[in-house]
Order: sequence, then structure tokens, then C-alpha cells
Amino acid sequence: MQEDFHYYATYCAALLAGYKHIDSLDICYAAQMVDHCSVTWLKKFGGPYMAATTQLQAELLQARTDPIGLCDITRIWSAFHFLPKDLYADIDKGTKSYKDKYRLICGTNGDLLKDTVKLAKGKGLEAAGIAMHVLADTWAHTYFAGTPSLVINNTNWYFYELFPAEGVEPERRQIVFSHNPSASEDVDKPVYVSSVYQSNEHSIMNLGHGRAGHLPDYSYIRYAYLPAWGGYKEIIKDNPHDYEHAFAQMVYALSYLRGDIDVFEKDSYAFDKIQSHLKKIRGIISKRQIDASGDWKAFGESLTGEEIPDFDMDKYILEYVHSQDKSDTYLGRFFNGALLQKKMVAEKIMESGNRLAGFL
Amino acid sequence: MTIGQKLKNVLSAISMILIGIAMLFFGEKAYMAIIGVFSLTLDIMGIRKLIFYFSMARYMVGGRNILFRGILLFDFGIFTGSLVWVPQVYILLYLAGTLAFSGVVNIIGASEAKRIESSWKLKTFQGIVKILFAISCLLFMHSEIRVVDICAIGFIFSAVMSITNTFRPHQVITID
Repeated sequence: MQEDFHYYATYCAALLAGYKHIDSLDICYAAQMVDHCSVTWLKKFGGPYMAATTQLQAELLQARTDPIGLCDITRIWSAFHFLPKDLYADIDKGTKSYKDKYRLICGTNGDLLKDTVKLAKGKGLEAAGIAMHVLADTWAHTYFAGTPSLVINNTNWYFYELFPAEGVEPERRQIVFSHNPSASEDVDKPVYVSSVYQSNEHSIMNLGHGRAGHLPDYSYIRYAYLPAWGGYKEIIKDNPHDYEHAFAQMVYALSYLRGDIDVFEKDSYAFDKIQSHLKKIRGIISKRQIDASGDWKAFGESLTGEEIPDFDMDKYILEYVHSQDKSDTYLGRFFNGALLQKKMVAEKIMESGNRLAGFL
Repeated sequence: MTIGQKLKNVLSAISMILIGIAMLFFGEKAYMAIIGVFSLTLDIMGIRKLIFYFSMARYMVGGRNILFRGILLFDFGIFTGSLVWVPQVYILLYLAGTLAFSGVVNIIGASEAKRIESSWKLKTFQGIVKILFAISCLLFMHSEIRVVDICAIGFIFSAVMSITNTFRPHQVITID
């Protein structure tokens, strides 16, 4: 997912869950910050490297892919962007190494999602924002794993965009990805860009949904493809459906974090709270565009009449740098929430007998 | 590409350049060593692919490609090793053939890249030059020394292209 959903849609979800404008801004800021908090950025002002929640393209290109390097990559991407659905998934094929990778495949409503939301309870708005990022990404990044793996994350030529029509099977148009570094995506032509095929199992090109390009990040698209792990069974990814559920689940989870609900249950959605806005939300989600920030922003501002400022990743650096008690700053609380999330996920993966994420 | 992978590619290219230089200076005397190294490299690459296939890639959609590549590489390795008992002219023809094959693969790759608006010019250039080297080998087949020189220059060219490719930018999707 991108800034449109992690920042603007998360703001809208927080408002609908009952948070005030200012608190909603803090939550959506943290949700978006997860995509920016890299070691390179942390170095800029002396933040703790361990709290990194993402890796920049340049960092990934230089990242080690030996077992220790793979653990570093997997800890970050599994904890924040590709939360595993089932660490004990019943799979009757493959070596242990294959099974370990298979069990890191991201999916919705797993036990780790429940752990993630419960962990954020009572830890402040920053931790709530982090949890919302993780939750939303389980919907967008489902079927891909947060570890570099050809045998899990690869895709092939079988990739079709689906155009639903009344009473008949959806029309299919084959998607041919461009690998040109300078190509820009165009939803009308369409031109979609993806990572190039690399037969090396641990190539960084095989991390997450790189081989499927940005398609999982676009809310309007429906597509059919053959995931590498799926035994030639076609998967249909219906992003409009998934993004709507992601939004409704965020409102539900935020209601829990706010204290309106006592217990967080999996597979629960606050459709009652968004019912009166559902037509508007569906309209934004299904609009064919690469970036829906403008529409989500307008929707959010229409809910409160307040302005939503543009996301500025350096907004809280001065406060952090000049503070005597860094743990009591916005970034201090964000780092704490990120460290707790990373530690929790790494420990759960290790407890399952899977060593791909190592220890924190 | 990581620093390690870049280093691996550069070292492999440097060894190809050294082979090319050895062929230029020592001519037929370098044959046995070149064939030995070539054969061993192909066998190791083939075995690695086969291990990867049987441990993991056989469960993957399209994983049989890895199996076929492994078998083909291993087979080529054994075949190359067997050439030590064959007259030199056939070895040179074989080396020219591998250059031509590699050139054709480059051109097919380039046409595919062009179709999906990816970079194709360098690959096409690489493919055409390799095929021209192979044709030159055939034209000068009667002169073993010239054929050796052409093959040597072909190896050096491939190595230089490999280094160039190593340092070219590649598309990586930043996952948000």
C-alpha cells in the first residue's frame, strides 16, 4: 500500500473510529512513517538503527543475502509489511527450508494480526499507527512473503487484469510487465513495472511482491495470476474488495485501541460505522488511478472540516534531537512501538521453529 | 545487486579475460587448461541448479525450467570435458558454436525486452557481435591460429559486456 491508504485513508479510519482530528493525524503519521523509517534516515539524526521499519531501494541493493543478512531483511519485511498468516501452516511438501519460507506468506486475519493489535493497546497513538500499517498491508500484500525467495514470490507470464461485467465472466487482458528502470506506470495504456526475473533464490528482486510490480498497491485493480507456491492454481486478487475490508477492519481495530470494544476478534469489521460513507469509499477505492491521495484527503477533510497537512517525514526530528527524554517524544514513542512489534514477530517466528527471521 | 554479487560477476569476467589472454599468447598450449576450467565450471553450475530444483524449485510454478537448465549445464560440462580427445579444429568450432548460441540467446532476450519496453540495445549489440565472432571463426577455419585469436577476443568481449551489465541499473520495486 502507499501513502494514499497508509496516510489519508488511515486518517479517515481513525476519525470514523471516534478519534479527534489531532489524534487521527498522529495515528496516520505513524502509519505512513513505517514506509520511511530506514537506517539511512535514522542515521541522519542519530535514531536507533534497530527501530528501522523499512529498507530503501539503495539499502536493499547493498543488503547481504547470506543467512544473517536474510534474517535482517526478513525481520523488517515480515514484521511490518508482510505479516505471516499462519506460522504453523500445514504443508505436506518440500524440505524444512521450503516449509519455513511457505509459512511466512502474508495473509489476512492470522494470529499474528491479533497479537499485533493487542500489542499496540495502551502504547499510544504511534503504536496504533504502526499496527494500522501492518493490518492494512496484510490485505494488500497477501500471498507474498517478506523474505527474498524465488520459489515463493516469483510470478510468470500468466498475469491477467480482470474487468468485471454484468452477468458474464470478467473480461481478461494479459498484463505484460516492463522492467525498464526509467518507465513510469500508466493505468490507461496500461504500463506496469516489475522487478526482473532472477533465478537466484535469494535475490533481492524476489522480495515480497516485487515480481508482481505495484499491482498489490493499487486499490482499483482485480487480477488473476499463478503464485510460485500455488501448485498451478489460479489466484484471483480482488483489490477493491480487499481494500474495503482493510478500511473496515482498521476502523474496528482502532475502536478497540480507543477502548470502545473490549476484545479484538479476527475477521471482524466495523461496517456499521462506515455504512453512511460506503458509497463514497467504494468510489475512491474503485477509481482507476495510481495514487488516490487527493480523493482520500478530500474525503477526510469533508468529515471534519479540518485540513490534513501533507506528510513530512522530518516533521518530528527537531523535537527528538533536542529532547532530554527522547522516549517521551513522538519519534521516541514510534521507535519504541516499532521495536516491540519487530521483537514480537521475530520471537513468534522463532518459537514456531523457523529461523528465517533470527533474533532481535 | 549486492557488492558480493557484483564482485562475483567481476571476478568471473576477469577470469574470462585471463582465459582470452592465455589463448592469445599461448595458443594451442592453453587448450587443455581452458577446456578443463570450462568443463568444471559448467558442471558445478549444473549441479547447483539440480540441488536447488530437488530441494525447492520442484514445488514452484515453472520450476522445471530450473531442472532443464541444470541438466543442460551439467550435460554441456561433461561434453566439454570429453573434447580433450577430439581434434582441435572441432574444439574451436564448438567454442564458436557456444559463442553463436549465446549471441542468439542475447538477441531473443533483446527482442523480448523491446516488446515490454525494457532496455534492449546493449543486448542486441552483444548478440550481433558474438554471432559475428562465430561466423569469423567459420570463415578462418583453415587457419587455427586465427580462429584461436578470434575465440580469445570473443571471450574478452563477453567478459567486458558482463562487467558493463553488472554495473547497469536494474528495476527494483520498492515495496510500500
